[in-house]
Amino acid sequence: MSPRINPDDLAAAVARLAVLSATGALVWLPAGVVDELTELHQALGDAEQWAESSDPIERQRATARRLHTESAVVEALALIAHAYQTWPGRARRHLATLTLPDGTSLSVVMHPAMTWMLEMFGPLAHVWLRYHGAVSTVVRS
Amino acid sequence: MSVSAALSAGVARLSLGQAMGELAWLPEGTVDELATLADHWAENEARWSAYKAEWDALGQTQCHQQLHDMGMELRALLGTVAEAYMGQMGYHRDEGTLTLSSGHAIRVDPHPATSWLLDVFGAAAGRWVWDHALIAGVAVRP
Repeated sequence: MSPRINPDDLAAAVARLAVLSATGALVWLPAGVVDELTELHQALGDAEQWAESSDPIERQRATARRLHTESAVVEALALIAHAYQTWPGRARRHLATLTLPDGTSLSVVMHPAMTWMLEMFGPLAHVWLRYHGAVSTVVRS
Repeated sequence: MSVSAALSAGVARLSLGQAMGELAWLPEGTVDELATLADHWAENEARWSAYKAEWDALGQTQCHQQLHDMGMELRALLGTVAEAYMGQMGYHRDEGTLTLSSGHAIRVDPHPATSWLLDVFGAAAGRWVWDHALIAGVAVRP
């Protein structure tokens, strides 16, 4: 089951990206990706509206639209993370510690864009993190 | 330890457990499928080394593709074993934590079979662990 995307988180991320892009700080950002995220935010809003309909067909459309849109958001975030990683000097991978409920500790090699993605996208990054965050998992640190 | 060696060791542990009558809940045929996969994985590793020594880029690419396919198969088989474990031991997801070197802490909900699968398969279970460590939320710097 994929985590739900909060449209407010997406709107905040789009605003941050737009401001930073305008200052020239994100020259490496793939062309059109901010516009794409803006459209996806609109699509999520549509899906939320349809979900409140009394028409069951409309509600089914809302679910399909939301799932499709959330998947597109994950892809857009992956595109951004990849662009971040491939910009010169940023290929460093991050180590993280995964602590299981029983106290077992594991070392995980994370995507080079991990920290930047978290700081830029906040809670929204968790959808990307789940699918693209771990480069490899190493047992028992 | 290579993945194939970790996988073979895991198969040996499961076979021993079955022989002692301790793993009756394992789905029939799963251990045989894992053993076959371990053999293929070892063959792939040997071919990869040979291609690398011969500077054979095409051969290495083919090995990579096979490795990807075998990785998917391994994850599916471990998924089957994990589901059976859960059926036997019960379902409970407890909270774990992912701590990044930057200090960010992220709440995760690992699959109940995670520790057991790590004990059995070691490094070979590594990727499966991540696939089933559900990200439950993202927290800011502590």
